[in-house]
Amino acid sequence: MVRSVNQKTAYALILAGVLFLASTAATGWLFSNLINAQWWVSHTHQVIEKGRELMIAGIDLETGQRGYVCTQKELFLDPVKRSRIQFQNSPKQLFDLVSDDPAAQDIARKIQLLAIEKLAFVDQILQIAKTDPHKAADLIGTARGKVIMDKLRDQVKAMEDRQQQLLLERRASLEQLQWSVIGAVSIVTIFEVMTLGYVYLLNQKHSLAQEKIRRALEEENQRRRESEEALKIASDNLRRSNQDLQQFVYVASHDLQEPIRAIHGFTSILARKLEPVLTDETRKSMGQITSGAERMRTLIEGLLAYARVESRGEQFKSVDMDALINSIVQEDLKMRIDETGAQVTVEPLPVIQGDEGQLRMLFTNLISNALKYKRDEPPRVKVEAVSGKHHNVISVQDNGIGFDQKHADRIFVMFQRLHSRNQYEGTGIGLALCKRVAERHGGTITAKSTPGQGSTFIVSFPKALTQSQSQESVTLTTEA
Amino acid sequence: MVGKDIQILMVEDSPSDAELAVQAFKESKLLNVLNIVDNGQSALDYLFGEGEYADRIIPDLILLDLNLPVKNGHEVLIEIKKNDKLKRIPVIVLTTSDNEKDILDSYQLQASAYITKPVDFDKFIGVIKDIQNFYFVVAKIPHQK
Repeated sequence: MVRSVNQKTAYALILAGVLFLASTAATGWLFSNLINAQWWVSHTHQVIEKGRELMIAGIDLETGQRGYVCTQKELFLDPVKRSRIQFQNSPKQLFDLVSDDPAAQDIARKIQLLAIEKLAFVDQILQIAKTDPHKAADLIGTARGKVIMDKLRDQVKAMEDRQQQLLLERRASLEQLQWSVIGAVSIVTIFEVMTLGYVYLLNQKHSLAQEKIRRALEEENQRRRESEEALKIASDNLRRSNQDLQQFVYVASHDLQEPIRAIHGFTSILARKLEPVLTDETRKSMGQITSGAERMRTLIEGLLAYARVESRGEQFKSVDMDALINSIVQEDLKMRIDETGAQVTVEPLPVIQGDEGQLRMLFTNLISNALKYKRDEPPRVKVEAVSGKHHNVISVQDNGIGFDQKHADRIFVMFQRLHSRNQYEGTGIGLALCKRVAERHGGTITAKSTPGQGSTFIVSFPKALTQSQSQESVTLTTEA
Repeated sequence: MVGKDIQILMVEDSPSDAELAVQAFKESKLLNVLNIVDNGQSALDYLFGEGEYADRIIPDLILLDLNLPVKNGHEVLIEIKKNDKLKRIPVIVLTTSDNEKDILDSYQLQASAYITKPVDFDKFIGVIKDIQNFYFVVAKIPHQK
């Protein structure tokens, strides 16, 4: 399962929060334990203090008792009375203080019993001292009181030891606890730092990745801008070059007409004026000048027509090819067909989107070629259509001289001819013009041929054609 | 108008074209005077009778080429049609161009006709004859005094 960076961050932060709470709780617990331990220390001191109070009270009791026995003075009974109260209360209080520790309670109980025994013995001596001080003094001399006090001192000492030992134990366990908590908190803190570090790295990585993506996008945009710029420049250059070319063709064609007109015109004038003195030879030369000029005019007209395929193209509309081809055959080329005795068959043809004038030019050229490049027998020409899924294909087939298939591309190149003008008239522009028209329609023109058997020219038009390209160049160069 | 001298102004910068026109006019049987200027400014000077053209006779017909030095044919046409005295003169644009825009502009500027010069000299003569026949025989145009 892939988690998003945001999800991961959220989980990590929750974990960090839990760890923080845990370490805070552990630290709090340690503090409460430390406070508790402090209490235990003071408690221990209280217990020890109580023991000492008891011992001091015992000494006071002994001193007062002895003073009274020796002097019989009531003065010594006051400290006895005070110490007595203390001597009675202290063991009780001690017992209460150690209520949590059975062992210490045993000792406290012994202390209590010893205190009672001592008090009883002191009372006994004081009672006897009222009547018989000597006997009382003797009784003190038996050292019984001392024995009790020694036992009491031992028990108090035992109590002290017991408390000191407990304190040490508690300190040790507290120390252990302290280290455990410190260790635990340290580990938790390390985990927390790691978690936060992970979050940081995760986000750092994420933002780095985002930065990388952003930079890549920026670079991509930059590249796109640059290539668009380059494309625009190239397109501008192409446009300019196209315009220049159109302008060139226009100027060349028009300016070339003038000298041709001059040659043609003045040759004609000369021919008329010199008619009486012309010989067959000079007349023939005059004729060659005139036909040269005419040929030049034909070439220029061809070039102009070629240039105008783009510059003077009409908007595309539906063209009924059936009607168009029949009109070419029955009207435009009727004379040629009759002259050559040709048989032209036109099969049903489709309606296509195109420039009618240019389509007429294209097929007039093809059919006229079929009539021109004939063998000795009368030409047979067939125009038919093969309608494909995406293309309308129209073919013009003849039984003429044909050509070597290896020249199939060459014939569509401007001024490329396969025959000398002595054999067949021509400018070498016709098929180049056909190709240009086909291309303006988004189509293609190809040729298949076998020498001596005839040729087939195949023009293919896309059914869904876009006119944008040709339209653009038309608007750019309508001046030509 | 037959029998009178017809004044024609030809604005043509190509000497050979001008000479061919002269020859073509010679072939016709009509009496006419062909005056030739070779640029747009001279055409206007001629029409307005300025400078060396002070003694000129206002033409009955103007044959105007479009590609002219100094001032082109369209500019000359504009000046002619702006002038009350000159605007009645038929102006025939006779040029090499068969550009759609040139044709449209010429008629827009009130040219009487637009003719593309044929390369073939016999056709050229035919054109000149047609012009003469139409303007001086078939049609009636105001005679300039």
